[in-house]
Amino acid sequence: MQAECYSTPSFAEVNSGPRYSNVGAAQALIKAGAKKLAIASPDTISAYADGGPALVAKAAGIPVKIFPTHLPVTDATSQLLQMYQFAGDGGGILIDFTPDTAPAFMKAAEAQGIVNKVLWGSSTPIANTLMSSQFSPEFDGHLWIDNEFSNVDPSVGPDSALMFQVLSKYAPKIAPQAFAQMGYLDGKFAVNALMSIKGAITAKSYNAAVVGLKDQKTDILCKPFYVGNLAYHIPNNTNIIVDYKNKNVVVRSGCTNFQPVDKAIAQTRIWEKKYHLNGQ
Amino acid sequence: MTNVLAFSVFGVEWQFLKPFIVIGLAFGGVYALSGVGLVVLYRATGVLNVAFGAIGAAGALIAYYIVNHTSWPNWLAYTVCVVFGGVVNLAYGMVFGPAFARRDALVKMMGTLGLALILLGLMAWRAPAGGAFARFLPLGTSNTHYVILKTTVSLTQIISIVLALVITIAVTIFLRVTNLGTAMRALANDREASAMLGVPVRRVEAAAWFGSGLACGAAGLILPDLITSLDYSALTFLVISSLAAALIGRLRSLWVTFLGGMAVGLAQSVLSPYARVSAYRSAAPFVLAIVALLYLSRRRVVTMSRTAN
Repeated sequence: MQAECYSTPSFAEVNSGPRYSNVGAAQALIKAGAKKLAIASPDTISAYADGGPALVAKAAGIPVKIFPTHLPVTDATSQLLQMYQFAGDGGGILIDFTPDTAPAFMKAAEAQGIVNKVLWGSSTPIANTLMSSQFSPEFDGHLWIDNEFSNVDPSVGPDSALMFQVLSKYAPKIAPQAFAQMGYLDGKFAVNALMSIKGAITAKSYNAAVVGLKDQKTDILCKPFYVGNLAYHIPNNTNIIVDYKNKNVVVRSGCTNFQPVDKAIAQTRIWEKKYHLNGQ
Repeated sequence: MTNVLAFSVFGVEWQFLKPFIVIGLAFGGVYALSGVGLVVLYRATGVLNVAFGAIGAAGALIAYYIVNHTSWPNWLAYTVCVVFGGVVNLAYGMVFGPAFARRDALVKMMGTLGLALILLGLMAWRAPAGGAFARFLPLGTSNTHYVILKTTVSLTQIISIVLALVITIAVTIFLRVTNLGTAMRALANDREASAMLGVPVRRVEAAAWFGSGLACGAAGLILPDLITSLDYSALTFLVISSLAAALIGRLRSLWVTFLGGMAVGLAQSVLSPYARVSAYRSAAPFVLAIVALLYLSRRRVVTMSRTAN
């Protein structure tokens, strides 16, 4: 397994990361009835990102095959056909790509006429109206996208509304999506850490404040964020599942915990209870 | 009832292999079309144009802009893409052709590499890839599908194959029966003698540059639809497979180039479902070119060794 920097004590990401976002999508696909699972991620992260959903599939007794994908994709149709041939009608195809790559596979699926023959899973990056406006209505009702954050919608709550205001004022050309939510949360929690410091603000005092973060509530996350003095951090381990409908992104199912088949998730749940990190 | 046509080819069922054959033939059509353009240009001017892919990609990006940001009809955007290829190729040939005319083939080729790099830089500047969205240039013909031998085939894929065949036939006839075509063949055989006999060298070269550029623009129009993406770097380097097709034709025979292009496309695609070799399929064009060159040169080797003995 690749050693990822965000599996070390110094990193506490606000998102789930590709591995766990794929876990959420795989769980949803299996629950929806997928009897086989084909997974594709960029080859640079495939061993890490696809290992999680592979564990979920194996725990459910479902055949799984990983398709590491070299970027840029030059023949999405061929790879998609291979994935479809493995998954079969009614099987699950899980794609883990950003919005500059995922569309190639989705377009290929439309061209090959297999959109409604399989169950489509995805990690978070395609959960936005930029994508839904392109691929709705063809993909309406056929997607199980694991969304690490709340729906990108200013009406969700005060943090979402503020994020839209900030984007509108300082980055009007940037489309609202998960990466914007990530950046907003990073800024929010960094400010909260700074504001909690009593006395001089130094590297030492700031680091201590960050480690001390816990029970940080926001409408953008399912559960409160935390850092804590842990060997690694997976504070965002509960996601929602979304789909496309009428060119919008709609919630399929609410906050759902990742299954603890991954040892890191199981350990994280133990720490959360032991140290009361997110309101538990 | 048992399907009597059910069989497997090296472990992959025929039913699973058929879609890859269709994909391979469609890509092969583009490689053959580009390869024929490369060969015609090389024979008339001595220039192996490695900017082919970049020119096609740039034309495709311009077409994308017209389709998505203007109210012009799509057919006009597609026409601009094809004509752009001809115009850019012609402009390069007229400006730099005379300067490189007396240089050797490698120097001439490096000049076109400079053009490719300039175009890549311009595309990266004006239309950077990545980020929050992807560009597409789907052709309307991709919405039309047929089922042939229980395999889905799009009209674009059929056009790709048929266009390559039609262009190869047309260019073959053109070179044989027209005055301009005869002049091109004369230039290919002996440039100096042709000039002395009054062949208008610059005009013939201009026709070769423009004509091969049109082929380049057509390839640039079809490829983004086949790969379902308008990533200019992917498009630029995909056409390297066309070079392999041209090499198989020994930069001489249009029909061998056509067959070479089809073989390259087929080989790349058909290897996909074979897990053990799939990772190496991008090398298929050059392996095929090397094998073809060795095989086609075998008589020359034997003759040379007999002469030496």
